[in-house]
Amino acid sequence: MEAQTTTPRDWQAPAALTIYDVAALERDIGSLDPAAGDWRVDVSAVRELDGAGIQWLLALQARLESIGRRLTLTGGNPLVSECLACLGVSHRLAAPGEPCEVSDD
Amino acid sequence: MIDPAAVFRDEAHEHLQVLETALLELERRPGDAKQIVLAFRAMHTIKGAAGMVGFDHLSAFTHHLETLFDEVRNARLSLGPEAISLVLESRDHIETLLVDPEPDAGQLATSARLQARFLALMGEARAQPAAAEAAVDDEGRPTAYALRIVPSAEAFADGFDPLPVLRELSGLGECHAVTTLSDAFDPDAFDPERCHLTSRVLLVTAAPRESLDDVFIFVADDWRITIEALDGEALDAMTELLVAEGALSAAAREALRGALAVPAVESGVPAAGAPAHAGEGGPAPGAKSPAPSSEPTVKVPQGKLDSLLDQVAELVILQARLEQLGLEREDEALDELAEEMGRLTTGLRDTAFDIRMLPIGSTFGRFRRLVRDLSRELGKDVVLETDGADTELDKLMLDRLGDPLVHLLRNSLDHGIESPEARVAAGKPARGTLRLAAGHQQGRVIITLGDDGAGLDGARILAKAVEQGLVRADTPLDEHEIHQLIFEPGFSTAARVSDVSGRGVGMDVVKSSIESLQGRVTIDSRPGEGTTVRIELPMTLAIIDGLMVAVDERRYVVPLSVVEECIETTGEAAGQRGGVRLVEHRGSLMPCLRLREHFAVAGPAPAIEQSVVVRVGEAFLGLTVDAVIGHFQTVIKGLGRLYQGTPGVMGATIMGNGEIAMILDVAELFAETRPDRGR
Repeated sequence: MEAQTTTPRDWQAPAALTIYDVAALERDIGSLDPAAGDWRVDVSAVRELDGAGIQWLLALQARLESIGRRLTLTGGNPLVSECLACLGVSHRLAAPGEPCEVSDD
Repeated sequence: MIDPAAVFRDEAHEHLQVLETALLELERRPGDAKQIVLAFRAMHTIKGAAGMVGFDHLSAFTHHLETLFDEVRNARLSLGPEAISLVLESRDHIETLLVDPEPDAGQLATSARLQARFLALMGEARAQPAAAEAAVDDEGRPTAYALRIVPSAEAFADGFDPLPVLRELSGLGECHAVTTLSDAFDPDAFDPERCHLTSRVLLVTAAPRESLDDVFIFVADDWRITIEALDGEALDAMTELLVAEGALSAAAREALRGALAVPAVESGVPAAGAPAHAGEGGPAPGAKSPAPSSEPTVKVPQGKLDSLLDQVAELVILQARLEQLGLEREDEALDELAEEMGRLTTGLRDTAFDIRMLPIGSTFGRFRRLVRDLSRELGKDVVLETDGADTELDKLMLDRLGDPLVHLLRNSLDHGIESPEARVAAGKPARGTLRLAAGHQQGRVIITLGDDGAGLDGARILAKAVEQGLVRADTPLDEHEIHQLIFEPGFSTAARVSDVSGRGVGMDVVKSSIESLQGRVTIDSRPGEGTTVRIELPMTLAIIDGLMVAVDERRYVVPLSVVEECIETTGEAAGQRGGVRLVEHRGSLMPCLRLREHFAVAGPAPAIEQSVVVRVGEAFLGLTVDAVIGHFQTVIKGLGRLYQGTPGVMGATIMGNGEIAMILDVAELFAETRPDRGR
């Protein structure tokens, strides 16, 4: 099904995206609404990131894709780029055209 | 709740023991790859675990040791005697750092001093890299590995994260990973605190295969990990997958294939559980056989185990009471129930006691270090050979056996084995040998400690014993009996007091320690050839095979291991010595202790009494009782605080009728009959 074109939802990721934060984040985002459009997650403020945080982003992306929406990471952050590259998920989470880096836009 | 720091300390002590044993082996066989890997892993594990439980300084300090062993493992550094001494010193320092996560100033200074010596050692090695590099060239050709990593669902909750694991893998070489949500991921039932990730990794590295296993050292039991060395076709398939997943560019793929296009990519050994190569008919030549699959083990605090054993003991007693009740009531159904329960409790008891059995070899490592350090201190060259390390003994006994064995080893090193010069002059090899062996014989554990030293000087021992009033000069004693005199209290022939032995703690302490374990100790020696101490012990202290005897209504248990025979005696004594009754036994006079008098049991003794003849060392003692009831196997219960000091009693047991029987300490009873210690 072709996704509807709507305004992207810009979301600012917190400073910590770790096992200690993901349960609260999951509660905060609530149910995903296709009408809310694609997600642009700004990771520029992230200072702590672990495997659970990256998994949460992957899961968010998978659920958005299941409703015809996309997730894009924005806000260049070397820490996030290094973690994504190390786990081998850069190409999945990065912005289109920038397979190995988090977009700077 | 279990304190993680306490668990860490326990495990760290075990790893330090592994390290020490590996180092001592490396001293004997420099370059032994297996020992190098063991030492590296021990350091790697302590470092990682220390960091997790807040022992940050210890983690940083151990990092230097780990680096050193990594250099050794990669043949960039060889461990000479000085390096081994330095690592042993560091091992001891780590032991002190285990006490408190925050080290004091003195500990920090020691850490700094040792670290400086490590760096100097590694610097020297790097200054002469030619030989080391040649070794790397031989074995350091890059190998491509495919890894599949499936963390456990509880990985995050357990404090383990695939991210640092992959980061560590990246440190080993060129690493390309793809991580995805697992097939089981359900978008509608997503629990963000459980791990749903699966990683596939291509690693190209010249590091030895063990380095890959080391990365997973903390998670190997809980995660599903397969490691497969890739040959041409499998490598192509893997790189294609990575290109398709976007984790590898086509150009990078070509570069990789070029780098690996060396004749016949070396085949690694799959990890246990790794899939076999397609079409493989058998293991590659030179491949190690996979490690035998071992049952998972569970670590249990000693207190819980003791509590289990206590309850099993109660159950055994309860079963005996049930059996007694069945007999008294002549109730067939009750008898059957008691019999069935008896079968189950016996099985449970045997299993529970078996859990507490440990191989005696777990203490051997400690002795190796002792022999190494003491022989250096004494200017002697001594090697410790061990045999029967897997002989099992009750942990309780093993703990209490350590000190007597250390004392015997010290004695052998100090007084038994001669200086290298004296040995050469006597036509012996300069290096002395200590042999520590253990084995089972007729349901008992036999431990022998032998040296090839000068042997005991019988004439000197006898002269000293006479001088100290331990024996009369005219006592007819053969050579063997003379040698046993060194176990007498206060006996010492050492002309000097050294730091090693001769501190006033004599062999009598060794003897009483062994006897308190229901064991016996003897010594044999040949002049010029050496001395052997033999220790005989029951396998456990928890159950006793005893002979039950009666005095009036009271019951006592004599440990069967010391019982020689039972004889009938009358009230008349053949003589008295120092207030102790003597009876005639096999042509000589034997001290006899009437339990009725000793334990102040009221009432008259029967006209004909029974005397149980027990052996204490080489001597005999009669224990006079009203009647001998028979063989009795039972669980030993400790005496309460009130009765703990009761002379001649080592414990108690509860009988089937609920009554209590005292278990006799024969050695203590015997000591009471020898107030003047004369012979």
